[in-house]
Amino acid sequence: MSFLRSRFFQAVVVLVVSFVVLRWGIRPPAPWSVIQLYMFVVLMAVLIYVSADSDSWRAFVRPIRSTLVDPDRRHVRGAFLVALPLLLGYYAYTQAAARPQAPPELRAVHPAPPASIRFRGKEINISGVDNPLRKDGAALRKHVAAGAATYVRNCMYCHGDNLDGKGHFASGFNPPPANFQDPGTIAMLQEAYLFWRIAKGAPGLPKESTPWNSVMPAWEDRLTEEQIWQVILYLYDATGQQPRRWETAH
Amino acid sequence: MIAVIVAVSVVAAAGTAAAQGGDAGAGKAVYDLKCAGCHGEKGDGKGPAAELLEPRPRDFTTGVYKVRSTATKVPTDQDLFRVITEGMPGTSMPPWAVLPEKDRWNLVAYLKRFAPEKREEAPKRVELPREVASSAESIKRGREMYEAIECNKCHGDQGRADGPSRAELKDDWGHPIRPANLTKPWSFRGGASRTDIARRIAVGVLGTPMPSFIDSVEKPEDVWHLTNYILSLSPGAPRYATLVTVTSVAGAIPDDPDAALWKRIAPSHIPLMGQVIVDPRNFNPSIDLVAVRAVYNDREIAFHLTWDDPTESTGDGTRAFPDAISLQFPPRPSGGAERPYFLMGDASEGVYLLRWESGKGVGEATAHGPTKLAPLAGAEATGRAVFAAGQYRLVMKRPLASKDAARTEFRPGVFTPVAFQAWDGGAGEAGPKMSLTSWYYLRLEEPESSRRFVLPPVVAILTLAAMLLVVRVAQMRS
Repeated sequence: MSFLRSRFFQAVVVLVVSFVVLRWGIRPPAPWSVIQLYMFVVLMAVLIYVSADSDSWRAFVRPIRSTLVDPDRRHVRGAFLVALPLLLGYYAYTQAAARPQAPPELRAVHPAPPASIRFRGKEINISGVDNPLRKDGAALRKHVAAGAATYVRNCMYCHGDNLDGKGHFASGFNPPPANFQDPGTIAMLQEAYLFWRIAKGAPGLPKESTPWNSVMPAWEDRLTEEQIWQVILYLYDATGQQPRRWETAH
Repeated sequence: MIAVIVAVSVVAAAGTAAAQGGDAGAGKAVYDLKCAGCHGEKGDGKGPAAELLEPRPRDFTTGVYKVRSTATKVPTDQDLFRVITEGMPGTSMPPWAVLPEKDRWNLVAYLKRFAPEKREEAPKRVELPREVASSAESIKRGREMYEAIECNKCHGDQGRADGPSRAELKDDWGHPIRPANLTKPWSFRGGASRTDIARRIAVGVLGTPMPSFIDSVEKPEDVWHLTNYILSLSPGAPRYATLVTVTSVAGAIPDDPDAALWKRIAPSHIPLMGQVIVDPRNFNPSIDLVAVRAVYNDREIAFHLTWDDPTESTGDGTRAFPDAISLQFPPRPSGGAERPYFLMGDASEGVYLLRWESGKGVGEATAHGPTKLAPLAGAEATGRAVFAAGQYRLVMKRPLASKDAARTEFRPGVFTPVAFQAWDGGAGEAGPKMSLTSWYYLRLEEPESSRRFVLPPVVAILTLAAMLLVVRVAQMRS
């Protein structure tokens, strides 16, 4: 089994194994650009390894050179001369025949909030404010229950019974409704931020967040200030997430 | 001796029940958190969301369950477990497979507590006759049975839920209920597998006007012929698209929605959702899917739309309204991301609508919000609609270019935002009460280029030349 000791064979094995692990061994799948970057690093490392000294380099190059020049390797050479141009030609075809894709929609998911908003004519601070209902410890359960009722009558159709953004209207909209179970949503936001997003909805988004695409209603038209704070309590209570506090933000 | 056998079998039965039997107490905790919003804390189907939902959430205190695999009225635990796990497609009941399996069995145990007296009878699974594979004859026989046992009375001649009895249907609680649209198996409440459908026909859907048919069909195996016929009604799974491609054609575009040209073009399916932002809100939209085909020639662009609507309605002005559909475009697609608000624009930026309304035909309008429509003068759009067996097919045509700044211009290769709105007037939909989408893209494909046939050979020849050069150099050096 001399070919197992061949430098060239070892290099090929390392590259193939790395690719298989990167492409299929990682869940969720890594983006193609990341795989390309890692494969480039692996290739460089392999080349440095095989060219560490001149004996090693000669051993590495020998099979390549013999394929190119040896008369008894004629057939292998011929096969490469046919296969590689065909492969690259096919790749060119797939690129030229690709159907156009819709342009990507880039949007800021959590834009910077304003310092304060006008809610039905009343000024409400966004920066530095905590949920006022949390102070009322005795009535907390009552507020959570009221928030749950408001949620199922208004929010559930998109954000889902399980608060995971899979309500029955969710599949029809892009951007999709927020998934509150995801640690990347309400768990990294302050409650006042949620108040702003619920009260002002899509029409209140800044331009970098493509307000014309989002179907989030401006709930100030329909819910009272207290109802919105109750829904926010419910979102954290039902998902077990903790709101980001102002203390830790500073 | 007999007593011993009975005792042993009772113990065995208790054993199997316990194996899958959950803990009702633990089930209550999950129920209060996940189910009570719709089904109510008392299990009476009167949670805070109930009145907005259609069909209504189940009232567990009656012990009546729609989807069951039993000949008895009592479902098996497995039936309840399955509905919790897979949900009920086409309703507000989502699949709860996200919950741990143990929680779901605990819920089953808790649900049974709401109607203990209904559990006295032991559930008995229905025996289906031997399965009959689908074939042209079986489908033909299924169609005969479909008429013989009067499925068409509710489900309609072509299965599009447009039968004459449709309007009178009520469930056991007196709430109006819609028959299933048999051409949309993905919305079948109890699943769309062959066995699911055959079972539904055999044992019916309890609490609804759908009866058990196992004794009404001529021979038991007819339930399989019916199943094969029902599955033959579906045009196949929808091809959901985010980009609607407008195909380039030579020559005149036919007005007739049933012309051969339209059958050659693959549809893009667009799901429609209820409008719940402005009053009146539409939590249970009637039209949930539109199939779009679009073509253009050197002069005109044409849209062919197909959608199911169980009632053809031009409106009596009180409870029923005209059926309508509209395509929405920004008046001037900039190519950039910015566009009007998806809900028919707003005060600052309006939209252009190409629309059709029963009784009025094809027209154009601008809108600055869902209640602020202004028809455009000087009709440039034409078209024709056909209604048959619970389905509309419509062609709308318009010149590609327009001198009017309020009308969108269509140019090949440009990604033009498009949104859709539909109204089932017979279901009381009018004005903001509609089904709609957010923005999609429309693109007029450029005429076929020869690039994809020229480029690959050039690449292949260049590669070959480079390789020959490398071989040559290597051989000269050695």
